[in-house]
Amino acid sequence: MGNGNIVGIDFGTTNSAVALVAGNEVVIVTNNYGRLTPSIVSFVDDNEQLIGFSAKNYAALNPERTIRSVKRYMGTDKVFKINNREYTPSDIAAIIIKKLIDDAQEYIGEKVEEAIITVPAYYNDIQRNATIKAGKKAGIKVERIITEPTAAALAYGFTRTQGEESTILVYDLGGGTFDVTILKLQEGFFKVLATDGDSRLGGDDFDQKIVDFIVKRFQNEEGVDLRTNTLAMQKILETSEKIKIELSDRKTTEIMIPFIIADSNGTKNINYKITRVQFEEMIKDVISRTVPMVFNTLNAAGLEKEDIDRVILVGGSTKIPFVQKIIEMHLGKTPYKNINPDECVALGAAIAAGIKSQQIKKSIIRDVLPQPLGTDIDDDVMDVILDRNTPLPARHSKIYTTTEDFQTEISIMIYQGTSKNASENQILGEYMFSGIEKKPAKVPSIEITFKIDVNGILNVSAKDHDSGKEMDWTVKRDGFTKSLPEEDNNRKNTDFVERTGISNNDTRMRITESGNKSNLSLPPGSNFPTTTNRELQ
Amino acid sequence: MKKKTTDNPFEVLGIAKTVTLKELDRAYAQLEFTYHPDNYSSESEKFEAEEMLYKIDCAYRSAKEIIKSEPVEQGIFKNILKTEDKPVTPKAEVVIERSGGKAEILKSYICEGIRKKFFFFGEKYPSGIRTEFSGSDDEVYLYLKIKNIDRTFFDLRIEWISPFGESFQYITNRFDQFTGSFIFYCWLDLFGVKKNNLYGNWKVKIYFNQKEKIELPFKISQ
Repeated sequence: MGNGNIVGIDFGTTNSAVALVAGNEVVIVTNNYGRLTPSIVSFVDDNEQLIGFSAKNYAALNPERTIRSVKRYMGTDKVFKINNREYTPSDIAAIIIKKLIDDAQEYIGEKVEEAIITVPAYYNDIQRNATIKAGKKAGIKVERIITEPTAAALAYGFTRTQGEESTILVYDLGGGTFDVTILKLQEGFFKVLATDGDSRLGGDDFDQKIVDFIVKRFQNEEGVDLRTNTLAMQKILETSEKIKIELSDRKTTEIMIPFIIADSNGTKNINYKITRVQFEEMIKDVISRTVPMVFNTLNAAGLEKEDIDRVILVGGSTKIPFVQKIIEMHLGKTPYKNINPDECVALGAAIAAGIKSQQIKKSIIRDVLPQPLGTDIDDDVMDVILDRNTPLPARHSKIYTTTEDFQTEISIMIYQGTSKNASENQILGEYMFSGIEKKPAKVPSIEITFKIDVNGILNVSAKDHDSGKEMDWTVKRDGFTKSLPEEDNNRKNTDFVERTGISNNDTRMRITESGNKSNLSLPPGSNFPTTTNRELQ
Repeated sequence: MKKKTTDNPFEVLGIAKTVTLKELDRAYAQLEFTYHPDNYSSESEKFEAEEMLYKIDCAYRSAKEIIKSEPVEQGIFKNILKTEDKPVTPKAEVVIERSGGKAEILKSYICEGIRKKFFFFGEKYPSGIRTEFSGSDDEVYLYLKIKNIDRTFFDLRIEWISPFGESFQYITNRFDQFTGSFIFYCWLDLFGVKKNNLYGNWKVKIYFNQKEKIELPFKISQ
């Protein structure tokens, strides 16, 4: 074990935080501006970037070269073009993580070498790897990735004195991501039972609703479409975020943006009244999208809402009273209030870091696979090998066969996602298995095994039962970016401000690659896939 | 590390075939904890633990299927009194149980005039009355379970009368498909009832379809 300092990082869509274990305490690292660092990078010129609060303050002057909410693009091949240089989401994330590490180093006066970074529970493998990559680019070793709800549970468990068994539901609504996770807490053991979520749903959507409201009203009253005005949109976006926060405390507030535009008739100002009720009406459909996921998770955990001992709220968006009301209404339980939704994830990450560095008593975390892993069979059918909510580490095998006579090789495509059509899911890798004994179609028996070890590394192996030929591959951590959900491809070429004008519907679109026919099939006569397990055969 | 060589899922998990799902989950969690690779430092131990963990996971899935397919009376309901559904004079035995490990029947009733057999009891913790005090805020609730109830009783209302004459009607209920019963919760902490106000003579009133009503007294003692 290295002697270097290890910190916990909550890399968020809107805000990030870093925490560490100091003595017997877990503390949030404070910098000159406070405890949270806005996840914003503003490029001044080639050599100077502003990060955090200074970037936020500077954003209005520099909207084209300011990047926000980069977390939404982790694991996609989006490119940010700034000053003729190209940045990937990982590059931008690395700049923010580097700043957090610098703050932590200044705080303790020592070098920080390792970090535990949190990710949304629903993040797929590509998104997780992009986060690890960002950490590496920031010059630190990412000791482990843990999920945000697990971190929140660690923070919650840490404050409890008695080690009685309890079941908690973590409702995590951040700036750009939503997760719901059910965990069982026992003395020294955190067991995730089930998780669900949407990695593109969050507080940003609420801001967007207010932006839409302002733009629409301005268009109606003044006949001017503000969407084409980058600077005006930047101001509106900032104001919308402020209004959202204000409406958590107040029943009514005023949207005031002086000098929004200037034309031949002079300058125009925005001064609209908005009530909390109006705001609640706007965000209702976004919040109600989270409710079925809560119940799906309960169902997957084999629990009823009455079995939940505590409901824990995580993420800035859960400070909205309406969000709390909806949760209480559906779960019949008042959410637990003694935990800071903005800070508990970073604190939990620091606790995990403290466990690693043996400063804190050992706890074991058993996480689950958030989205199914499988391969494609027949005509683009996703055949799941490791199902969602499978406890990790995990190993599972299935028997497949060939589709053509005398086929000697198959290509094994590895997908992650919930769609029934393989090509609509995220592709993680493609491997060629050769050396199958020449047999008529549907005769060979090929066992494909997926294994995820304790570090989250996916290993795929294939074995032909007749020839005895075996091959295995480790799915590369750098990811596989051949195809992406089309949503991202659509977004790729629109610049940032334009994109903020698009309302964020969660439609996952098809990749229309014709002739995507698999050469893999399930054995004949098996309505249900043959599942084998080596130990219990 | 202790190695298990058997293939019988119940033997792998070290439990009897008659356990309840809850007991199964508990035994499984204990083994998951014990054999988690993070508990071991050397690579060979980690590897062995991981292999063992896969075996435990698989045994758990099999055992769960087996237990689920057994009739429900096998497990958690063995202590419960049952009455026959008599077509002419329907009656039911209602039992209020309270226990700390060993079941203690507080009160039992024969109720006539109810269309279907039913009884109520506590299974979950393992009495009908559960109190929990943890953390900073006290959490107190009562719950009762009515089994084999005629599904036409859609309009079921439960009223709890405390020893101080307060009436509590804030109820969340659910139908438990696994046990085939209705469970009614009364969240006393929402009404500010604290631990000390819980002891004494209680009454629970059960209204069926707004017409039929039964009233059952019971006592909670320290």
